[in-house]
Amino acid sequence: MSEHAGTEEFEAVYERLWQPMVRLAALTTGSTAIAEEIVQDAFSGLHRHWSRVDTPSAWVRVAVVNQCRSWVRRRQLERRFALSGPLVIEDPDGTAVRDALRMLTPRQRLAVVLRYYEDLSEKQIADILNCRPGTVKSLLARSNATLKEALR
Amino acid sequence: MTNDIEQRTRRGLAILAASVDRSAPPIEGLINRATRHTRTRRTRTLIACLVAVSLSGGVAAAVVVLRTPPTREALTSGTTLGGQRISISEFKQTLPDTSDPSRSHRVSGLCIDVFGPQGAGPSCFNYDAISKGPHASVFKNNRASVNGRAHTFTVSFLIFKLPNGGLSKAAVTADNYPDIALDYFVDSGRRLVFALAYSDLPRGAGLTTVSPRNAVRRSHLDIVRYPKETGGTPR
Repeated sequence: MSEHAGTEEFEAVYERLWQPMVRLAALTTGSTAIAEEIVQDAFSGLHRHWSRVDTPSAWVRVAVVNQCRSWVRRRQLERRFALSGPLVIEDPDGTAVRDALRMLTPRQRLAVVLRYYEDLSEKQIADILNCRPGTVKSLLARSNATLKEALR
Repeated sequence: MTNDIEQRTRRGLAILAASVDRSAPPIEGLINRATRHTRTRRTRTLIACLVAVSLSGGVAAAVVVLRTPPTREALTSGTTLGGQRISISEFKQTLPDTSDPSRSHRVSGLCIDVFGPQGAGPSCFNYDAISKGPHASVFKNNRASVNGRAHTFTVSFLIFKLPNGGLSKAAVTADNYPDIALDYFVDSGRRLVFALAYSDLPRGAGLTTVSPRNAVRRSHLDIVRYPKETGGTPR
């Protein structure tokens, strides 16, 4: 995208997708602050690639998911310190699921969030995670077993 | 997954998601960042890489160049100068209150570039440069020992990006920060910005400490190096 191209369209997409993407990233990372940073990065990338992007919502979602995965990788350094802005929930169901999500591996968490929050099919999740649908099934099966144990 | 567990998971996720209620920040910040990133950093990186490779014939030199901070134009082209000054005491007031984790977010809009002399520990920082340079900052991957830990960062003086878009700067003497630590904040444009904080901040104080190199990489902030002009950080 050139510097001046498609600002109105981009703004519309930005307004529409900002909050859902922040929520997606927050569920994945467990931190609103990190989520916002990730989504900002994703939109920054979308802005740069605007002219070549056919489906902005899908593009942003993939970018957010990828950046969440990158964030998990580089979290090692930050793990020594507390995360900023963790999700604070008072609802018992929310708390239970939040704690249960922490018991999942990052990849499993992504799969669960994409399946049960974004309501994507296994095929769509496989496309985003760049793996086979069978792998997604396996991820979900393992995640479900953990969640079942945690939410019992 | 049984229906019950699935339903609980879905409901829990929906509750968690609903707890994240953040409106989109002004799009101008995003566009500035995106275009500036494209215009300066990427071009500069490419040119630096090509020049380094062509001059040296080696990849190692290119890597060195790529780690060199960007030039002054990058900062001046992407920021607005002329913001009101902020005093040290005012700055100190913006430091997070360790008893209130949420207060760290009150410094939104504050932008601080941190840098300093080579190999300096906290006691060797020289902030005289603040009165000499217009707004230039220096960043170099030096090592300093803080609280017995080796940190790959240097600190010299601070630049503040004010909420009104202007920049201001203030000196901070190292003696005031015997246990200096590098923490970051995100400004209103969701750009990563830096702040200094006491390293005895309790964990969970709402801050995340990262290496400055990592922070810079993530922030796309423009960090420029003007050791002579700014009165100098020894090299």
